[in-house]
Amino acid sequence: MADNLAARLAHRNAALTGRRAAEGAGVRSVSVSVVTETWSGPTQVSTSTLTTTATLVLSPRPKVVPAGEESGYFGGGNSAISGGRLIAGTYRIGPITLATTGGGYTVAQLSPPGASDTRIYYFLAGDEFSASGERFELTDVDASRPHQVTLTVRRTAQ
Amino acid sequence: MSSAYATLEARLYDIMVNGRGVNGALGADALAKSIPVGRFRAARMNAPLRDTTYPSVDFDRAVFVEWLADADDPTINNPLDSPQHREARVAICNAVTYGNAVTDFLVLAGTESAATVIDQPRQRALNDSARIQRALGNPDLLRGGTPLDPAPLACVREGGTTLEDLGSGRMLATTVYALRYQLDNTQAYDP
Repeated sequence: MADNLAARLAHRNAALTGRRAAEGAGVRSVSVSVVTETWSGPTQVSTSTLTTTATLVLSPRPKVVPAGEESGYFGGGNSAISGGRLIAGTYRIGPITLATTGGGYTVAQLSPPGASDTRIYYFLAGDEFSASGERFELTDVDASRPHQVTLTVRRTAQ
Repeated sequence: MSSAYATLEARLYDIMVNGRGVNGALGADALAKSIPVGRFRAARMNAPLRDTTYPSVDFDRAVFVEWLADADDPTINNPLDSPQHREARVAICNAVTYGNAVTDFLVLAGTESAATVIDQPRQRALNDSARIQRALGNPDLLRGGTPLDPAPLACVREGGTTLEDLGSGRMLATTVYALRYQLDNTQAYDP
C-alpha cells in the first residue's frame, strides 16, 4: 500500500484547527519565535557585524512546558534569578503542526541550519520568562510523528 | 586605574583576536608573528569553553584566558621597591570543532578546507596553540607600543600543550604560560 499524503495533510489541518482553538481560548501564554541572525563573518570575530535578523513568530502559539534544567554559564531567567543560581532551563515546545495546506511549519523552517556566520536562537516570552523574554538554543527536534513536531530548547547566551 | 588583571587580559586578547601588530607599527618581527583579525575569536561572554552549554556556533577557534595563579617573581622582590615584579600563571584555551556534520561551523583560515580539517582536530588545535605561543612570546607584541600599567614583561610557555576531547565534536587545547609583569608600587589597582 502506498503512502497517503492527502490523509496526512487532512489530519494536520484538523490538528491545526484544534491548536488555533487553544490559542483562541487564551491558554497559550508563551510566544515563541525562531530568530536567525546573519553576520558579515564568523560570530564573535571583532570585525563581524550583524547584517540581517529574520524572525519567525510561531502561529498558533505552541504549548511550552518545562523539561528539566542543568547548571550552565548561560543560566538565569525567572527559573534562577531570585536564587542567584546559574540554572539553564530546558523546555519542550510543541506539538507544532507540520506543514499542511492550511498552515503549519516544515522542520527546515523550525530548525534552520546554523553556520559560523549564522546564529539561530529561540525567543520565548511570557509569564514563565523574564520580562523582556529569554533566548534559547535548540537541543532536539522530534519530527517522528506524522502530524507534529516538538522542539527541545535550552537557555543560552542572552 | 583598573584591576591589574583586566589590563593584562586585554593585552592578551589584543594579540590573539584583535590583530595587534598586524599593521607593522610594532616592527617587522612583531608583524611576522602577529595574528590576523578573524583567525581566533574571544569566547562568547567570556564563558568557559568547557561549559556544556557553550554555543556551538561560537566554539571553533574560540580562545579563552583562564587565570590560574599569581606569585611574587622568584627573584629578589623588596616590598618597598617600585616597580614590583609578579608572575602569573595563565592558561590559554583554544578550541576546535570537528565531525563531518558540523563543517558549516568551522572558521577556516588560509588554504584550509573544511572537508579535510574536519577530521584533523588534534593537528589543528595544536597548530593553533603553536601560533598563539609564537605571538604571545614575541616581546614586541606583548609590551611594545604605549606602555601599560601594569606592564607585561614576558609570556613563556610552561610545560606542553595538552589536548582534551570534550565530546560532541569539541576539542580543547590548553597551554599554561608564566606571565611576568611589573606593578607600580604606588597604585592599588582597584577595579
